[in-house]
Amino acid sequence: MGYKRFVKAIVVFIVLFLPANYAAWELHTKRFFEGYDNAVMGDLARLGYMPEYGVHKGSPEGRHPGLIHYNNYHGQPVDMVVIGDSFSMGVGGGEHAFFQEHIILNSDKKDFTVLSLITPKGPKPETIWPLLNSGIIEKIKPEYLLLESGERGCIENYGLRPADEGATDTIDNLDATLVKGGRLSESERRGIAAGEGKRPFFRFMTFANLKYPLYKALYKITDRPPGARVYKARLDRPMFNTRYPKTLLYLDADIEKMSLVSEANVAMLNRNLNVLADALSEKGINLYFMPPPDKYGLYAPYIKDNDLPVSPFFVLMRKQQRRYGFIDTQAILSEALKEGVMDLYHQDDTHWSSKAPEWIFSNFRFEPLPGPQGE
Amino acid sequence: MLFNSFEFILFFLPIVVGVYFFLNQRRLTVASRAWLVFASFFFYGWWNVAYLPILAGSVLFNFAFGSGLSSSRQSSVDVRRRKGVLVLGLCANLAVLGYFKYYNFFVENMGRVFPMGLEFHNLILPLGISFFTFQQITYLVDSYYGKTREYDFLNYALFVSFFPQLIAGPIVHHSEMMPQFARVRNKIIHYENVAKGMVLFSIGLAKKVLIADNLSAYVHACFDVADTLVFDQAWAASLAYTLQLYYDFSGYSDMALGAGLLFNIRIPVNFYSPHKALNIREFWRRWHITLGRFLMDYIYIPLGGSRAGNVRTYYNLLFTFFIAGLWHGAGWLYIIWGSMHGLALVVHRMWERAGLRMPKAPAWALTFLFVNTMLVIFRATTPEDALKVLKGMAGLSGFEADFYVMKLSNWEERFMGVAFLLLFAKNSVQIKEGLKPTWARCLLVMILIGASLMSMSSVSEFLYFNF
Repeated sequence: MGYKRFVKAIVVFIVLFLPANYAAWELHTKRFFEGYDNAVMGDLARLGYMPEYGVHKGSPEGRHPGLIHYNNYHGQPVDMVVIGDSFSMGVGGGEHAFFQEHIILNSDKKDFTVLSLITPKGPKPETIWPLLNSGIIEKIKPEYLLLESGERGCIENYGLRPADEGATDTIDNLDATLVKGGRLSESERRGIAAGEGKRPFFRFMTFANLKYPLYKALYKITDRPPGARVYKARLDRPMFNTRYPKTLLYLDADIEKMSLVSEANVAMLNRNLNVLADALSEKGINLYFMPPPDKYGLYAPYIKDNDLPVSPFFVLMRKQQRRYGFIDTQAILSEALKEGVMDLYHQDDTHWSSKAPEWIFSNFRFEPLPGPQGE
Repeated sequence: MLFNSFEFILFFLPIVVGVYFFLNQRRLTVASRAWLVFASFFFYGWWNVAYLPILAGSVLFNFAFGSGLSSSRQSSVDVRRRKGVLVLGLCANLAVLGYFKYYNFFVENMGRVFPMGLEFHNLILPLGISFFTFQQITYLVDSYYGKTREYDFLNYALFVSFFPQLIAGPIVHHSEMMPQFARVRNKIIHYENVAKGMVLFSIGLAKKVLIADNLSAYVHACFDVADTLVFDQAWAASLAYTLQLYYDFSGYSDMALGAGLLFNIRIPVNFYSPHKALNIREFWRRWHITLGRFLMDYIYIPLGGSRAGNVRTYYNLLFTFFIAGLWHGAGWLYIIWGSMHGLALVVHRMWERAGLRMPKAPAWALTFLFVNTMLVIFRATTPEDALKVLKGMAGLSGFEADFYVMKLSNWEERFMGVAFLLLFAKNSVQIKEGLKPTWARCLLVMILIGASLMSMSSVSEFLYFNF
């Protein structure tokens, strides 16, 4: 071919490539960023390019007035401070989307209040020390501090090095710790997922246009395609009120992060939480720790022909000598599954639905800690 | 406007090329050059219209001074007066560059020694000022020495502002650019040049968005976020940055050369497989070639070069690369980086003068390791960050980590390995020179362009935009 034809071929390619991508985006790719049949895609459906698993989560129906986010906090004393990860951001959707609301609803105390802080570093010791050392926690005067950390992040957050590092850090004010004051609105979530704000016009030019048909084909062949972030598994009974009630979706990290769970790491985690608990108890604050279980681990007993191991995290945690309160979410939610509760976790998401915290906090009470906990 | 942006690739470039050759086809050659100047100023002003007067003023001032110097050489103007004009012109250029780039650095450092009560100014560095200032300094100096011809203003304006090289080089020389703008043969579209330009551009784009940008998050996490780095992390971070900088900057240069070639304009090569170099002198003949050329022709040689004995030669090398460091940025880390390269060149010269030789493999390894290590200083934003990485590389922070601020996945490690191996493949200039128009190569270019366009979901600035 001559140079002229070479040039023309490339120009024609670019001219056709753009509308082809636009068509792919409009016809299918956009749906799993912006919703499918009016359902907002959960993170698993998006990561796995599976819009058919999108679940209606309903619109958030307001928030219990006892739940205070930082942007509504005016220095009033609160009963509990919650510092957590995405589980603390109410991503479950629907009525009482925040687990904190279920704490309030199930509290024996009337007008129980919870201050929820979303911090850049997440629920780590490096977040707590500055709040303690700067006197900020004392001013807030909570009776309880609840650290919430999803199971697969627990070892990285608490179990890899002593919590004493950073134990003298301080901050000037509460503002410095915060990324945002509360949950994202539905439109914000959709917008961020769809790439708005970055390249609003050309966001249709994306590898997702290729990945969607590719993964659609791969998932027909295997439940764990190479390079996929989302794995599928068949359950031995219906556990979701969806089009595919016996299909479990979970994140590959649920398996990969298991390698961090060891007796030594869990012991370090426990030691670090005890150190934090001691420091907090000097201020009259009771530390509670709540790890929402990984979806895979919770549903593993129901997976047909499961050839993958299960994390020993909760088994090891139950053996620790603790000076903090531990909410054994796996034990409580396993009972819920045995009772046949459907949609405990969203099928299309790594996060639980509001049914999970509803179940947990109707079966758990926060109380001042008398002494060392554990077996 | 960035080269790796949709507005540039899909709108600006095709429109400018199309109108340029349309006007030339109608023999409106003055209009076509004016169009290019307009487009180049538009390109520059896209970032911030406030920058335009600086560029326009610089072009007008230097053209006037240069033309004056050139024409006064033929008349009987006193030599001292001409020299005074040259010095004035140079000082004006350096004053503008110095103010925008070095004023706050001067205030900060002088203030530590001699408190002068000067305040920091809220300055934003005009894009490309280091590049177009140096380009015009060469024009002034050459005008003084009678090495310039009678150029018309449009060609001069185009030489300075031609958008492919305006923002981040290569640093072009008037003698290699202005005749090209004047050449009649260049007014006609040459499909071979367009094809080669497209290939170069697509390679540069892929280097930037597919390789360099994918390394930036890891580099940032290690250099700017991590408190300490153990041995393997530190080496991975330094190597990642070496790769990122090379692919980012050489990618930009490839795009500049490619864009220029669409107009039949050959912009000088700026990178020629620098990490294949077997010694530091060879490295500087392959890395940022046009900067090295400028430093040699306008600083090193005027200082005496290597003509005045060993000690003077070593001083000239050290000073030249002190300037190189300072040119890169108003910061002590840049100065240290440049000075260390100067020192390495001195050592290399001593080594050669002693008649010593080194086998190729250790010579390559030593050169690469030196360049890689010095880039840690170049990249770090604070001395503490530089020390953190260097300590890690020396094994002084341990060999095992409990915590990785960001760990490379297996895929990412392989990706870095491939990026490293590609350093030793044919470079883009060699690919361009040897290009034959076949369907296989056409398909490869399509894949590169397609993958690059799909990766451009967020815009990233080129690293050398800060200069």
